[in-house]
Amino acid sequence: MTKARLFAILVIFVLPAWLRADQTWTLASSTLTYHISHPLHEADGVSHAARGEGICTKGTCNFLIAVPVKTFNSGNSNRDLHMLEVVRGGQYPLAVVRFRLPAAELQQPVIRADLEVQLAGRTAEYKQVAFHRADQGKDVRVTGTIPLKLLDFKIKPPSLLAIPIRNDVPVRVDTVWRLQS
Amino acid sequence: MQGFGGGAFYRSTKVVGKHSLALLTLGALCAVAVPGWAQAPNAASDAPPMIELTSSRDLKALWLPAPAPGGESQPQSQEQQQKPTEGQQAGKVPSLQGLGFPASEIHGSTAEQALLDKRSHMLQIHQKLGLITTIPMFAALFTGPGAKGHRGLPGSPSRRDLHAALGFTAAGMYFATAYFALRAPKVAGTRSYGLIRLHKALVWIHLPGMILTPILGTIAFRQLSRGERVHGIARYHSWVAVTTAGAYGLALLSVTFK
Repeated sequence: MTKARLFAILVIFVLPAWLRADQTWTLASSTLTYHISHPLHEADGVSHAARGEGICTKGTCNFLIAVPVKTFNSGNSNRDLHMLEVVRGGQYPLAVVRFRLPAAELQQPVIRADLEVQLAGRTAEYKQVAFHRADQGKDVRVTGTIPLKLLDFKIKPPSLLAIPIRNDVPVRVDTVWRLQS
Repeated sequence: MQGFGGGAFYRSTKVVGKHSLALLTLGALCAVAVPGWAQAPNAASDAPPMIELTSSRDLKALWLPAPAPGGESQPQSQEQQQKPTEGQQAGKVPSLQGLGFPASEIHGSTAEQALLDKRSHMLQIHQKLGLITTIPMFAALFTGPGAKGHRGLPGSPSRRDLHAALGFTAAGMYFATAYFALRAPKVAGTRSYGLIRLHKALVWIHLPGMILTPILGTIAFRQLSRGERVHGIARYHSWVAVTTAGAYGLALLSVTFK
């Protein structure tokens, strides 16, 4: 009987507090890769410098991921500096992604999120972007592709030999998240 | 048990029956499920009042800034980007500062952007002029044999003049092209990597070549105009010109193809 009461008290007072406790996810590692297409070129720019955090509170998780645009390396410094100019990286050094999810969604193998992306001083929304989730020990690996389009940010596609690159610049996202205790 | 929750609490729970405990448990769990219930009014708490959300759109409206008409993105100042929205103020949300970015990386600078713009603008002119320069350069290469003549005989004066004109046009445009590359502002803290290094290294071949070629060409032109065979250092005019054009073409291709 005493054990039953103890259990009940635990359920009444401890479980709700535990369920409502804040959880913080931090970005342990990341690889972000943009891909540009030109009739004479295919190039990928890679950055491992993204930082991110997700705070889950009251059943909702708010995520923020930011990456300095100057950290993308496409294997050609001239192209990277030109990219920096095109995305107005001097004035707006960070590309920022925000999204909000129900906490339960984080447990799904496929996470669909409405992303708010800030780039070049402008904001665009990408709805229902699918990310795949996989457990890696204590960490969670989340991968997906953001279907970025230059004109969504009023970026005129840069050209080489008078031929512009494609408007579609998909960004592959490969991230590992760690739950902070 | 006394130490667990205090005697008063124990006594109060003692009078509550098993079913009442179950109901209390159910109530507490409901309070978790419905945040509005769980939000006890507390003047000391700095948490804002709960807002009832009826759909995911409502939730989004709190979180995201209102989209621009027609779905077009609007320019935002860095301050606007950092300013928390109503939804962000309502709950715990991560911030750029919280991610540990230094202020310089969050706010940027218009001066730095102006430098990038100027650099990019000058290099685009460099690119266009460089492409246009290939026309008189390769035309000069093709008219070269006609200017020199064959088997020791001088070529026609008109072909010589045409070749010289094309050569000097190419040289003039080349130096204009080089000017925009050399005068483009450098971005501090950057280093060259990739094929652009080959593009820059080839300067050490085609720049001296573009200085030497017109000089040797002028000497050869005068020798031919005097009815002499091309001799002395002027004999290397065509070799220097071909090497220069080759290095120039390679420099062009190095930034054109991956």
